[in-house]
Amino acid sequence: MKRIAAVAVLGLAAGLAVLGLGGPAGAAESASVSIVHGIPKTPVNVFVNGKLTLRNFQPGTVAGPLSLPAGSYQVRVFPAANTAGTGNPVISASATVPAGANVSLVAHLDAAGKPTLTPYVNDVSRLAAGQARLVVRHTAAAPAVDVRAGGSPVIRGLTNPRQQELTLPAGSVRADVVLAGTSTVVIGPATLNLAEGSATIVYAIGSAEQKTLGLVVQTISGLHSAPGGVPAGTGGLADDGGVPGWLPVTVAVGLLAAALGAARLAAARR
Amino acid sequence: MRSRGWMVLVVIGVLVAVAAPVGWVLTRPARTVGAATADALARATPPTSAPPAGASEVGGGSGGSAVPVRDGRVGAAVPVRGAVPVRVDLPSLGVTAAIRPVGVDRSGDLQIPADVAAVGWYRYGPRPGDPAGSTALSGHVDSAEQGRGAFFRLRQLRPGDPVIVHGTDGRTRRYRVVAREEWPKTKVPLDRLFARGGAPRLTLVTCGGGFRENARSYLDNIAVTAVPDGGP
Repeated sequence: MKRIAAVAVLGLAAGLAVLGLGGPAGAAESASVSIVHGIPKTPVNVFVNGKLTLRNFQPGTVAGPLSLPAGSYQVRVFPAANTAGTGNPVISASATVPAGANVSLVAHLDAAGKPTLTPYVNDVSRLAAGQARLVVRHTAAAPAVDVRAGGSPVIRGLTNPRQQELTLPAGSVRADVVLAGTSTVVIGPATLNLAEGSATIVYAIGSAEQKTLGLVVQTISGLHSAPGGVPAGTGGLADDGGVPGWLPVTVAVGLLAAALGAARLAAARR
Repeated sequence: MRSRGWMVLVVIGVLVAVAAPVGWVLTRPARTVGAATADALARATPPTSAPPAGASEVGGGSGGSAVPVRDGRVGAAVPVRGAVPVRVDLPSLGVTAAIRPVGVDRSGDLQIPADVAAVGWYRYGPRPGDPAGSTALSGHVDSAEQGRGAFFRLRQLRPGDPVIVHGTDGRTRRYRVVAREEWPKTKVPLDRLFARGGAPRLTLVTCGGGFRENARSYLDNIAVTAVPDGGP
């Protein structure tokens, strides 16, 4: 934990450029921002633009979503004992929040074990009915890993701070994390509940060296679609599209009667 | 005098031939009632929905206590929702049917229980008792092999009719019908029938309208919307 306690002031300008990918769609449109704590054993206070926004924010928790106007924010993270927001922060970064985007700001360790803040723009596109999205983000001080579901690798060679996403049928998945190309389990196995119409974002966090590796899960719901149709009948017994049987019969009888009368009238006049 | 009788027959014959189709068209029960009510329910904001996450808290200097924080550990408790429905009664039609949870088939259509006497509950959507959204129950109108289905007479439900849903929690939830709608299958507002937002409501769906013999399929869907008794 010495490294974590050590002050790390990080520019992060390059990393935060990722946020620009969403493209500002209009200053009036707010962004949805979540903050994920992925640094083990380090409760913190989070200051946004100098204001204490998250007090005693615990490792392994997810705060938000906050609806924030698009723009640039200064994020400074201090140990929980420091409520003044002065002195040396654990992390100091400025984050540009694009309009309309769904963003996760993740406080975590980089590959070398230094605290850092990485912004991810979340994929909130719609899912087909019955489907779920699984996103795995490598935010741990650990080498490249594979993610296995039900024993077979579904994500290979993931490195800090990269991510990969999959679309799967909704339901439970038994997953573990192994060193890339090996069967050496470093995290798990864990049972993940992939809720239908939701993105389940799994962060691998902690440090391999410090033996603090673990998972944090963030869920974004409301990405569902309706079923494509309701095929609820094959018999035709309730067919009411046509004309009832008595109707043409009645019309025919009426017309016949009229024709008969007309014929007799014509005959009588002759 | 004889010819007057034939004249009367002509007039009566023509009247019958015209009045029968006109009368049939005019006296057919309306296929759709309460559509505006059903639309309004879908747009409503449930009173119990969570307050919007406060953007103003950031920079507001309130100490941040208003920001919701969730446990992100694997297996962390998921908020408890309403009850899984197990049986539905439609007393005005004399119908009672078992409910089975269903999802979607390979083509993305709603699954309907193979047993036409049973009704499917769309298990990805809201449960009865949830604070918002449309709890969707769907049943066969009929099937070629098994005959009439649980929802054969669904189109006879009228506003005010009761619908009773029994849940795994042992509770009975009473609803009353507010709308019955019918659309060609290409125009069904599926997003509304399976909505997870809007006022809490129950939506019963089946097939109806004309039947295409060669496709073994009905042309329309019929949906009945019901609201919790004492609700909106």
